[in-house]
Formats: sequence, structure tokens, C-alpha cells
Amino acid sequence: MYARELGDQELTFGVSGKLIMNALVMYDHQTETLWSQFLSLGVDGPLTGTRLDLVAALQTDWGTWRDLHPDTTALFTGSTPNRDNYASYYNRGSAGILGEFNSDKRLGRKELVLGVAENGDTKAFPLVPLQIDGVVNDVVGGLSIVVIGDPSGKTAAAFERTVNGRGLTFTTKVTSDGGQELVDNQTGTTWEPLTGIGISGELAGTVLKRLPTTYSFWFAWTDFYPDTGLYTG
Amino acid sequence: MNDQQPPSSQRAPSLNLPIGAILRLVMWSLVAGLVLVLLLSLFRPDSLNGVFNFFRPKETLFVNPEDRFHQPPLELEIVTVIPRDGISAILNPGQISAEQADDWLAPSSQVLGVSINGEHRAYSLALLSRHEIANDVLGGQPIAVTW
Repeated sequence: MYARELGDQELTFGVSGKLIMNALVMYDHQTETLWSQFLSLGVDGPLTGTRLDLVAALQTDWGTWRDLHPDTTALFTGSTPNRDNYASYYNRGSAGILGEFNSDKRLGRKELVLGVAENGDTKAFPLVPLQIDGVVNDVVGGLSIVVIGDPSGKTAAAFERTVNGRGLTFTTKVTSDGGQELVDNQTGTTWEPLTGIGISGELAGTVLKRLPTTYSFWFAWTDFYPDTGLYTG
Repeated sequence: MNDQQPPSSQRAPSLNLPIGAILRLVMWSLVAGLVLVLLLSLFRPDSLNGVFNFFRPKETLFVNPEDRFHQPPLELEIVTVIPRDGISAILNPGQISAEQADDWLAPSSQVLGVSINGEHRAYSLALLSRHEIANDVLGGQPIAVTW
């Protein structure tokens, strides 16, 4: 997910029909530059070498998102499909149509990870240990981050954990209704885990800065970042 | 002297090879091959990718990212799989309220959720998987949502 602006130029993107290591290559209608989705990078044409700014997103289900943001809207084009075209691909053991480029046996190739890339450093956080551990306070590329696993094991979120110049460390607590609550050790503020919104305590109303992450299969992440770190719980 | 060789007069001349039998063999081999390819494409579609990939146009790109200094350029192989715009990106999309979306999306439907400048929008993965890219504006920010 990207900002579509470079300086004061607004770009619109189309599907180039090409792939780099099984991942989408876009082109922009204004300059015809080809862009790698995974690297957020111009790879051929006038804007080669240019980066697109990443926009953070949360991958989750509609029910969870709607509860977090009751005033949400939804993208609508007139058609209302319900089946993901790639549903069978997610469940098959195989890599994408071009095959695997860098086989890294630390995890199964179709295991889902939340990938963080900061200042040239990369680290993958698999959803399964995240689900068990709940919260990880870590440093990637010199940036202090917190990664939060949802008890469902289906989603995870990552935020910067420096607020107003102050480094925070987080723990999770199970609430009386079986939900999960995020608390920082420095101020005791309670935070909503998937949105990073301060709910009660000293920092109530503050919103943690969400990191642009890549929700990816392990094989795709290691194809692009063979030197990646891996969180193992 | 070779006792097992029949006299030359009794040997079948090479022109009298059992052509019918050979043709039948070739034909059945072709049929068996086609059936095998058909079965593979139905049940193990990934096993044929290697064959298809051999014929796909590819090219190696050398890229120096602007934020990556004094390192050798990235070497990226780019492969053409379908024609340009063979999948149509979403341009100028509309939006619906959460109540309207409830008629379409089940609570378990997968979405990408984005929040910018206090505005929130869900992007259905079933919809994005048909278009790969949605060019949208959220909270005043032009964004490209990709899947």
C-alpha cells in the first residue's frame, strides 16, 4: 500500500502483467515506469530507483475492522464478490507460478509472517508465535517497535514504541471477557492492541504510529530479503 | 555362417514395416501424453509452471535504489505473464457505509483496513484479488491499495 504522490505529481497505477519473484509489478499511467510492489521501488523507466512512500494497513476480517472503526466506509465498485480468486493458492504448499527463488528452511514456505523493513534491516514475525506470546518489544534497523499478535492467530499489528521521545515497553493482559489489552510499563496506559489507540491512563487519546508492514508468505519474504532476521518466540 | 538369419528372400523388405502398428503406437503415445498434461493441469497445475516459464519473456533489470548507497545494483528478473492491463486496476472507485457493506461482507470476510487523517476504509480482498490495484483517495491522501 502506497502514497500515489511524488513531489506534486499524482500517479495512478495499472497492472503491468509482469512479475518479479512472483510478486506484482505495477506501471504508472503518467510516466510508464514499472514499479515492484514488494520493494515499493521503480525498477524500469524514467522513475527507476525512486521509492514510493508506504501507507500502513491492517489485514483482518470485516467484523473485527467494523468493531474497531464503526464509522468506517468500504471500497465499492458495483460488484460484490465474496470469494478470493487466490483462495486455493493460499492453501496449496507450492510457491507462486515462477517457483521459489531462495529456499529458506527456517519456516514452512507458506507460513504467514508480518515483515518489517526499516533502514535496510529486515525481520519477520510469524503469526503463530505472535499469537502465543501476544506482544514483542523489539528493535529493527535502530527503530524501537512493538509487534502485537491477535489471539485469533489471523492478524498482527506493528507500531513504533517511542512516544514523544519516550521509549515504552508493552505487555498484554487478558481481559475479563477473554479479549486482549495492551498496557505499557512506563505510564500504565491501556491501549487498544490492533489500532494502537490509548484508551485510558496518562496517554489516553494518543495514537501509536503504525508501521508499514508486509503481510506475506515466508517464501516470498525470504526471496526478497534473504538476510532477514526471524522472531522465534 | 549364421543359422538364425533367414534367407534374404524370406526377410521382410524394409518397406514392408508394420506401418499401421507404428502409427497406432505414435497415436496412443500422443493421446497418453495429452491425457497426462490434462490431468496434471487439473490436479497439479503448479507442476507445469516450469514448462510454461521456459517460454515466458523475461529480462534482467539492474536497479540502484535512491536510498541504498555504495552497494552493487539490485539484479531483478522480470517475467511477462499476461498482457498489460490483462487485469484491470480500479480507477475512480466509490465507497459505501458500514451498514451498506454489511449486506455484502460477512464478519469473516478478509479485508485490508486503512486509517488516514481520521478516515477509515475497508478494502475487500475478494474484490482486490480481481483487480490487484485500487487507486483511491482516503483522508485527502491519494493511495494505491495493492494485493
